[in-house]
Amino acid sequence: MKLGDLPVISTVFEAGADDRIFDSLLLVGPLIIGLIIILNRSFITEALAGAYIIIFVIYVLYRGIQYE
Amino acid sequence: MLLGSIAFPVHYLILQGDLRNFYSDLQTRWVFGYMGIGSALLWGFLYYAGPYETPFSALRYGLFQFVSAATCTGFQTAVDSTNVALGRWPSYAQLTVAFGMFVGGAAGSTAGGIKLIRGLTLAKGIRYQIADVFYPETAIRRLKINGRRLSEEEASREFMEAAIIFVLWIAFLVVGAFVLLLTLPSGEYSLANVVFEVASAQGNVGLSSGITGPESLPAIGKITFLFHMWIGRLEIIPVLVMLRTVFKRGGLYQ
Repeated sequence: MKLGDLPVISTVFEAGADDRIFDSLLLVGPLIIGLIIILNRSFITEALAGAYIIIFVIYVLYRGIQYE
Repeated sequence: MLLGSIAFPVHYLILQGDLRNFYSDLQTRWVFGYMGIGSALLWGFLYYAGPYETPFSALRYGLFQFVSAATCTGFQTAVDSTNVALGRWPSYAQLTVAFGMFVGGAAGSTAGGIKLIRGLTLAKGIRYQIADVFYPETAIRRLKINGRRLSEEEASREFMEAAIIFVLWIAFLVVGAFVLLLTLPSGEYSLANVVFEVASAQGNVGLSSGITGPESLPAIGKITFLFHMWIGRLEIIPVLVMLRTVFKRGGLYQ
């Protein structure tokens, strides 16, 4: 079975951004929010949230460079 | 807050990699420009004549409150427990925030208000109409808005639409202010408080000068705000069209 055959993931792949990185960020986002709720604010959750934002911004900038 | 006041099609283009939209799109450019100018103005008001002692605290509250208002987010940091509530700011500072709520963010975003594109169409349209006096009747003129070159007929139509929304927004703001002034206890709230509160309701913002509350706002005021929030979200015209249909079909209009 492929990853894209799983229920929620298949919906995101089908209706999402047609881009594996954005699709992954879309899927990982709620999980990170869930982790922050469960673990409260700590160094680990802050690092996770920070890494998420940095990856998002860097990828948008990368796409900007590719677009040029 | 700023991202939420940028149009969704521009979000899409930026995520596709077309980062030029941050400055090439008229509304997005103005989101940053107008938030910057408004925040700087509010900072100046709050520091030189207002309630904050240090320039940094005036900047902190001025910047946050203007962006919160103009993006129609509604987060309020200026409350009694953090020094001075919004409702006790100088009247001109309150009206600056109310202006932010009146204009709002970009059309096609989550923001309320009349929207930036209508404000810009009005400003450019007024300049276009005034300059018309100095051109001969045979001159062929175009109004440039957001990369589009509008013919006289198109320009007139877009200008008219923006002007209608603008006038209706102001008219309902005035009506709401009258109702509140009539129903609130006299001497308790200033005119700036009332205008601020009605602009907040009609712009679907949620900031408060202290009027809205379970005890402080009479039932008539609550019903008025219900109406303002409703027409503000639907941008007034659909509500008027619906009312016209109801009256016409009910035989009340003729």
